[in-house]
Amino acid sequence: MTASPQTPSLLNPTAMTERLYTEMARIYAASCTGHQLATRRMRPKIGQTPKECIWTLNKSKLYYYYPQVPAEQVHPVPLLLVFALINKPYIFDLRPGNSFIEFMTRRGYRVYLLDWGTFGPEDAHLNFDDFALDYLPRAMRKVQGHAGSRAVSMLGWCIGATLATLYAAMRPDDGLRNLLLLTAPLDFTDKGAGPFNIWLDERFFNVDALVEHLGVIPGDMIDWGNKLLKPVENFIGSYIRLWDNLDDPRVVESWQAMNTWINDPVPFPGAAFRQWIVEFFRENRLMQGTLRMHGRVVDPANIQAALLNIIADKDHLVPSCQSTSIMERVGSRDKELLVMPGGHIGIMAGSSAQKRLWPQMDAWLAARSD
Amino acid sequence: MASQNGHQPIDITNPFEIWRTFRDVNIEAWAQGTAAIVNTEAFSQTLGLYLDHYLVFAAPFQEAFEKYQDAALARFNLPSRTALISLAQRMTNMEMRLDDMEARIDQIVSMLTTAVPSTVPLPVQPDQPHSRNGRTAEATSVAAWETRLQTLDEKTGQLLRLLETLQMNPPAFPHADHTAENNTESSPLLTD
Repeated sequence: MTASPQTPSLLNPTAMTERLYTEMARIYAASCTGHQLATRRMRPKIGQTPKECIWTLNKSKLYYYYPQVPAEQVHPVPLLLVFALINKPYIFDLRPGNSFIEFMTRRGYRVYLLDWGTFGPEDAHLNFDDFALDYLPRAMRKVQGHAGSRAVSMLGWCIGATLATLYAAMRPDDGLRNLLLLTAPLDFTDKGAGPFNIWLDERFFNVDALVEHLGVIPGDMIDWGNKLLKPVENFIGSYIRLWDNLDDPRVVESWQAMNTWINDPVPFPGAAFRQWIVEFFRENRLMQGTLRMHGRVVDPANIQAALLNIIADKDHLVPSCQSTSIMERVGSRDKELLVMPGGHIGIMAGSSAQKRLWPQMDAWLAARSD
Repeated sequence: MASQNGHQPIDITNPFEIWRTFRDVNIEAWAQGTAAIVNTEAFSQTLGLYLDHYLVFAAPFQEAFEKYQDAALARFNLPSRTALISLAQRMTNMEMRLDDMEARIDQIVSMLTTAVPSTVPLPVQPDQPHSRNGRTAEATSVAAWETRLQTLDEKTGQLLRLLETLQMNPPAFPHADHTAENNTESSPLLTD
């Protein structure tokens, strides 16, 4: 039987052979790349934007990133980035070509990044009061002194956004001009929003015993909890997606950088972890108006800075209901809610972020940074 | 994966694509199933039980290990974990004091004119007794570290109080026309 060009490939030996060869070549190339990945001969280039450490306190460091524009184009108001306590902040500067910090320095911002560092057993007593009212004000003071500007913009992401909110509410006169909240977990009223609310219920989860036993909650434990929200995607789907694209160096590079960050968690100080579970998740004290820090009630109405609240519509870690209600509670007159398509990390660190979210953040901030 | 889930027509003549589609559809279904399972009370209860069992079994072993470890370290005149943790915490406290001092000095310096020469004498460091291997003899025991840290801590506190006094009652320097009130560049101090 002779196969014509119109014959379906399943019945066409020549076409089938070609496809088989193509697939075999792809598998071979993928195996070579996979072998390099497995033997750690491929290292991701992460955190490559030039920076300078200008301040340290305990494990925390404050980095300064030079603006990549002529001096006359530099915005007078600097930008301070605050990330969560459970992962490292180089997600802001993931890799060249896909770095928020690189993007912002090229848009004329003097960018400062607060790296909380890797906490040890001696930091088990640190809580949100310490981070929001001892560490952040000091970092802010250093930024103001270094930049020579009293007005500062602050961007908080995830728990970093919670800390930024607490700081803005407790110290409204420090010179914070603009506050950007990114996927901020603030309102835990809806107990049906996401599995965390059930997992951390006091009937099932004994946070006191855990903190007493461990002191500092290991990063891997936090990481496991986060991954368990979507076990198939995180433990299987991610690697299948890599396998399918192992012959594409760009995808491999991107996957490797993100995977390095995901699997690089930091320990959570026990006191802060307990406070997070009890006072925020279970008792929702911030929104109830009963949260006290250093003896004073935290009132979001004290926030006077211009506010941009960014929410990811497919966020499985911080459902949108946890972030939206703050808009009605803040005292800011200039406030805006921005809902973006994407997930908790993807909206900010995904490959499409520099076309979707970053320009919008830049536009909002540029109008308020001169 | 997501891009292949029904968004593009499947080439039924390509067995590899059929296989991938089959795989992705199955994984998607599996993912939805597990996402539903982890969102149940039964799963939360299982997680809680697992954690409780871990704590019940691990806690006594950890306690015994720590006791043994502390005893062994003490026998070799080495600092215990608790001692090191305490030292690290005190170092952090001192770092905070120094940070506050730096801020206050910055403010005072900005208040003074550049023409005023520094007249503050630098403290003279007393000679430290040295052992044969070059390290200070005192530094060989943790108790001595504690004492030295405490002294340093007190000195830092004294300096801080001195600076506060100086800030409250600044000396009358000639040409000193900058005041704390009109200095908009300096940031507020941490006085909660």
